[in-house]
Amino acid sequence: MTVRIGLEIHVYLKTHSKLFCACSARFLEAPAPNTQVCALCTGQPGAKPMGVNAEALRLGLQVAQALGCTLMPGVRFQRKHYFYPDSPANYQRTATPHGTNGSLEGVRIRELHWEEDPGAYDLREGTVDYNRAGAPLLEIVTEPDLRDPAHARAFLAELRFLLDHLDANYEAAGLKADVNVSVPGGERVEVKNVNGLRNVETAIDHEVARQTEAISRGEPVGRETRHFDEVRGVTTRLRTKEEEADYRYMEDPDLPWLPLPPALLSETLLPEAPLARRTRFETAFGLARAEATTLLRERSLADAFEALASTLPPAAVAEFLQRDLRGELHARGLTFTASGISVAELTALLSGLGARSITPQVATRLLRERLDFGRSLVEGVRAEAAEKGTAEQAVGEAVVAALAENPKAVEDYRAGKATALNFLVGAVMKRLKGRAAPDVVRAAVEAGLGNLR
Amino acid sequence: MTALERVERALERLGPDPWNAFLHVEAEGARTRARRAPEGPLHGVVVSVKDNLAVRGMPMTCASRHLQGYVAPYTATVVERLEAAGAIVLGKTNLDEFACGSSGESSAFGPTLNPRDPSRVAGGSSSGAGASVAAGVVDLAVGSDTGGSVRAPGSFCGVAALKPSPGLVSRYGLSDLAMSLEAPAPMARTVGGLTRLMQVMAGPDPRDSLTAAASPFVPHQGELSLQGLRIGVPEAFFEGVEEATARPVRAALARLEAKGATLVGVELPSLRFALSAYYLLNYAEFASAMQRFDGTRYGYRGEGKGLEEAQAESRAVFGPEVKRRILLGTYVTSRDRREAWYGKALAAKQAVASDFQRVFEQVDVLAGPTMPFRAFRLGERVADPLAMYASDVLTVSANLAGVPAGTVPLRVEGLPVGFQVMGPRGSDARLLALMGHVEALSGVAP
Repeated sequence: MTVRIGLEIHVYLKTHSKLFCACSARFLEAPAPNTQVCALCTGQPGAKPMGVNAEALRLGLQVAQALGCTLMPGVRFQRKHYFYPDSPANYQRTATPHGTNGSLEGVRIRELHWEEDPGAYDLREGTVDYNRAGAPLLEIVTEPDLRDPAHARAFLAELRFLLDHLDANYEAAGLKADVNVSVPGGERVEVKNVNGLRNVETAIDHEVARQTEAISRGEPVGRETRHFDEVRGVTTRLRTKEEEADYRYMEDPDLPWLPLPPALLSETLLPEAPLARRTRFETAFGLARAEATTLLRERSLADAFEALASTLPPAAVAEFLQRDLRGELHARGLTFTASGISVAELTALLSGLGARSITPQVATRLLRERLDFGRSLVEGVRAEAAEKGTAEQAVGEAVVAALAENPKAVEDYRAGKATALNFLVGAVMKRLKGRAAPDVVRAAVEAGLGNLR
Repeated sequence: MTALERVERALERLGPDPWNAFLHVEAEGARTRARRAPEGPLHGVVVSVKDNLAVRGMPMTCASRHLQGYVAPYTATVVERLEAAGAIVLGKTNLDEFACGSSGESSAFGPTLNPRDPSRVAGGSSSGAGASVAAGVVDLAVGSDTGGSVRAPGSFCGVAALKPSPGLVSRYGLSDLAMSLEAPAPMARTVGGLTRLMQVMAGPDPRDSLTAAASPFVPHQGELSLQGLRIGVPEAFFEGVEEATARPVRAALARLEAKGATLVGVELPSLRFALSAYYLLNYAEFASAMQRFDGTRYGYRGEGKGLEEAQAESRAVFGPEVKRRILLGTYVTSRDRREAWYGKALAAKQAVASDFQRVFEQVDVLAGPTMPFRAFRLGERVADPLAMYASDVLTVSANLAGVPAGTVPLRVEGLPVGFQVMGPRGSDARLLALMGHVEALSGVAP
């Protein structure tokens, strides 16, 4: 017997509208409490749910695929009854699982399902804000396979990577989890509503320590539900098993059976599951795990990488994208998609770098001009290369003229007089009015002298 | 007649509402709307709306003290469609509290009196809807039907009514009794009126996902031929039916037969448990739906120490029938009992649906009386819930089976008698065409 830790993770799906109505699901952007509500999400008599939000369906199915779940042929929505002011109808709609038996980071995923979020009840003020009510949640339930907080951290980091790749999570809204912990000799204890990854780890730490200590003192650890105190980092008892409410689960008569037929799946699921794709990035392009993870964190960036790596050296492309490009994007709080940079633009930039028609410094400058002023990279690279060509041509012409005008210096040089070279370089610089790098000019003069021979 | 003249005539006929048919009359609002009623198939037609349907800006009480003073912040889809078609809502009609009843007597604001005999009930739960048509105040009314709620008042008041196929009429804005069984339902003086209402009310609505697959209602084209029409007549439909009701119904059947229809004796074995199954499902769904009425967001807010006590007080104002159904519904869906009760009722519903499906392979329609008796006296059954429930024995099966059903008033001496027809799911237009024949052959000549 070892410590057994399981998680029920609630992810806010990144959709425009709520799960069953047209109200905005971006509740953090609401101008004031109860401004993004309708008859349904305030529980008015006679209000009915609309069909299930198509974006929430898509994201929920893609997460199930990413976790390697078996997909169900359809789902039913159930009503979970309880009286609490945050619940507009005093029941919550929660679906039967649409995916089961997945796994991630050595943790078995029992199931995942859609449900609606309740509103936000302010106990002290006695007010409720229903802007959040009806926001689409995805609940991911693991088996109690997590060994310790470090394992939980690794698992959650990996989950975060998948959610980022799928752009599935309304990130600003955070992530909530119920944490189940049992230690040898004790029963399962559930810690409800833990907000954020860090708190999940703290809650696990605290519970393992608390329960182990209780057992060692000879105190029983019975089945109960506890509350996590974020400020103090400890848990407190909410209710024991005997006090558990009867939710009277019942199929929602307002919502028909929702089929998830193969046709829907084929147009919804990704052509390649994210983790399989990451493995392929590692093997096919020789990328390190961390590198592949970074590139795949934003799907459009990964797509761009693949397009570029088909014609350009993958290692150079990967390095540029994850160091230079992501660095510049990050500094501006932009995503690759939001930047609007096209694969054609990146092809021009990386080809220019490869052919040395632009320098890395110039590439960075062009990237910044693109991000800050919208100047096309294709055009920028072309102009830079053309300018460079013009400059080289001018140097060449000046060298030819200077050598023709100074036959004496040429003779001296040939006779082995080193100062003659400096004279000729000076003559070229004078013709160019100093608008050239001396080392470039010196090389050009030496080359010109060699040609005369 | 102009729209305004029609409103004035309706208000004049209503007078002080001696039948208690209306819980709210929107006289000035109706006049205002009449002046700018849009053109449309129902331009200037005055209608009544059952007070469990939301109309923005109008009170919506569901005939309950709990919702006294509540004003609906939105409009039900069916009402929106009626108004867009030019109809004018005169007001909100009386009903059994939250539609829990078969006689109209459980209204917290007093029973509706039957315009044909004010000492008798109007039938429920759409009691005011039936009375508003029977009294000649309006030609068309919108009620709702969960287990016979428009057919009972139709039968008792001598009014035509249709319980539509599931998914044909949007339930958005209809306060729940038993969501899986019900829909807004038309009532009218004539079958033609029902058709006019259905043309406007029916059709898909994104705000009720059960209507997603609905096709618009298209009236039956041309005259429905009675020649060779197979009418199933289950003997069970006449069991325990009073003679004064059975006789005119059989006579009407005989007239259809004389016009070429074939009467076929059919068996529906599941009918004997339909009533029990219906009430169990009704309790279960109703208890769930009623959770929202806790006084937190709207409605009566009770005094009390702490949240739980205040919520309990807010719910204490429900009438006895509403409380009975919430308690029973909570009981039959509780963790340890749901399989024994709710689970069985769901299975029974399935059995009824299969029975009907099978029988509609043998016959085109089913027919019989709508109610086992004519309108009873006020107070006669209120003390005995089971006797009250028994009046629904002939209507609930259509809701369980998910098929359309209509009632047509027959030409009789004395109290009205309704003739009921049921057809396969989606046959609403054909059913109305058949009801038109019954009306012409045996009905109250319009």
